[in-house]
Amino acid sequence: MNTEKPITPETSVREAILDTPFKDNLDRRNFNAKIFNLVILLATCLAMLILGLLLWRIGEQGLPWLNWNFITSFPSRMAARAGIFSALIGSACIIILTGIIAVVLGVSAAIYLEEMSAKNRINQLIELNIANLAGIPSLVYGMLGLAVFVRFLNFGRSIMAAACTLAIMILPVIIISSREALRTVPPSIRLAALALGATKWQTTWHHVLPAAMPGMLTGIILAISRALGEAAPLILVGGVTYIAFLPNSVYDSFTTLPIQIFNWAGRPQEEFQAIAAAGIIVLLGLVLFTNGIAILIRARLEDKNRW
Amino acid sequence: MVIAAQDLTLAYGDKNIVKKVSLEVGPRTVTALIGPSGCGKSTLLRTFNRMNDFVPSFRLVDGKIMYRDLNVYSGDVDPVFIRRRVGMVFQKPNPFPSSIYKNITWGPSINGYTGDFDQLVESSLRRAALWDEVKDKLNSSGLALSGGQQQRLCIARAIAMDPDVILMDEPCSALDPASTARIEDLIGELRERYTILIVTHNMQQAARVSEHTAFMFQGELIEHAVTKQIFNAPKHKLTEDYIMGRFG
Ligand SMILES: Nc1ncnc2c1ncn2[C@@H]1O[C@H](COP(=O)(O)OP(=O)(O)OP(=O)(O)O)[C@@H](O)[C@H]1O
Ligand SMILES: [Mg+2]
Repeated sequence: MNTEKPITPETSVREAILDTPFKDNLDRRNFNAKIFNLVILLATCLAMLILGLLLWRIGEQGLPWLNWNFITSFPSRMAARAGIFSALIGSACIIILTGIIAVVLGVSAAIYLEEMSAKNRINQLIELNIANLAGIPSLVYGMLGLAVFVRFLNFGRSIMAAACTLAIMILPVIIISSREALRTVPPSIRLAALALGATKWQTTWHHVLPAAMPGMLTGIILAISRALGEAAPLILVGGVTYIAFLPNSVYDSFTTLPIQIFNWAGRPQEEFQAIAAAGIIVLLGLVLFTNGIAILIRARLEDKNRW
Repeated sequence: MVIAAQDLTLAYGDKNIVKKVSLEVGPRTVTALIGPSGCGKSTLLRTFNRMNDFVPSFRLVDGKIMYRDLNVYSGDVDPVFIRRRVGMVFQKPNPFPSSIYKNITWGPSINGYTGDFDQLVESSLRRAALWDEVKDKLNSSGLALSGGQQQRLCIARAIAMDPDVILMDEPCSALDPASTARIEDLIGELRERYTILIVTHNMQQAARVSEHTAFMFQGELIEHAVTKQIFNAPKHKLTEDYIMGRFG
């Protein structure tokens, strides 16, 4: 410390700050930042490496079996002739139905809880419950689906029962993420609309919902991808593995890609293991495809409204 | 009388914020609401068109708000109708994140406007002194305008509803002197058609734009008179001290 030296216009910056109570420690802080960067870089690399290994392994096994016949054939007792056509169509039907049910119910619930209802005890309780529901294992939803949709509502072991089960399963996640998205919409937009003589509903429908849509889509995409890859609850609800026809209605029996893959992977013959891998590749492609579409929609929406 | 507070007491939770305020505003005048920060100006202003309904802890403790012959807070009056007739311009410009054109037309369209929308957009923007600056980009976003332009867009949006009363809460506090001057000119023109209530912290602004001034202090209305009188010969010592900048 050089307390004697007065600060003049000629004093260097370093000298001028020597005496202040600020010890900026810039070198230490920059060093820490570098270490932190290194750690997260390593973590990312590790994750990518594991993912890459998995993909490589599956590709090596499955790619040779992956051809147009595999996609357009029904399952068979012989691996060489087996295909995933009914599973692919089943997955597609179920996921579309699931998406419609879950999005309509979930977004409505989120709007009610976030925009319309009073913030009272009962709603806080509901909120807590929804958060808890998101943590329940998917098998439990399968049992619920079996009891309620298959038996009680008499949907049978059908596409409808499967879609309802999956929809209920992803509902909590959709509600929570939609509420989060609604909360990010600036209150000033709501006030602007209300001050023009809009009803609460007009305000929500015309301004809040479009503004929250990109954020909501993120949660919806993640939830639907999860439903697409889920096998356990659907096995409980009654997915079968040998279906040699296409569904005529939502009350027909069903199979899906994950169920088919699960079945093949459990067989001892090596060929079946291989076509299971090929099935996984198709499933990955499907997930990538749905995510891609959703991301495109989100990007377009984000372009349209910005503040 | 167009709009009036009668013996009004307002509270957030248990805390009375506005106390026994009575204030009458006549047609086609500009009334400035002044007073130190936190004295309840915004709270009072927001009760005139029931925008306080959206503040959960807000309570009307006593008294009433009259808009012409309507008791604004009586159960059979639809707040949506009040807001449609009593417009509001906020402190921070808040255009919708959509086109300039839609910013103007949305309010009228949801309220069943049957006239020509193109004409409405042009006349509203002209009256808000914004037309020349935006006439070539009506379809670009309202957010792509400068702060001052955005605030004039918000004023245009409010007058497109052809309101009876316009409430303005510090409409110039986020703006530069040039934009402020433009909006003050605009208020001067708008007074020929509308009844305007404006909250401001700027004494010169109050003196320039208003015919009447009301001075509030700690939730009470201390003095309400013709602006000239408030500024030249205030009756209360408090008013004088505030106007002279001795506190607040
Ligand atoms: N939503 C709210 N909940 C509880 N108290 C509030 C709320 N809004 C304002 N208040 C309180 O009410 C009092 C008056 O606030 P108000 O916004 O009306 O003041 P103001 O006169 O407009 O001040 P300013 O000039 O700073 O805008 C303040 O003490 C403030 O803390
Ligand atoms: Mg205020």
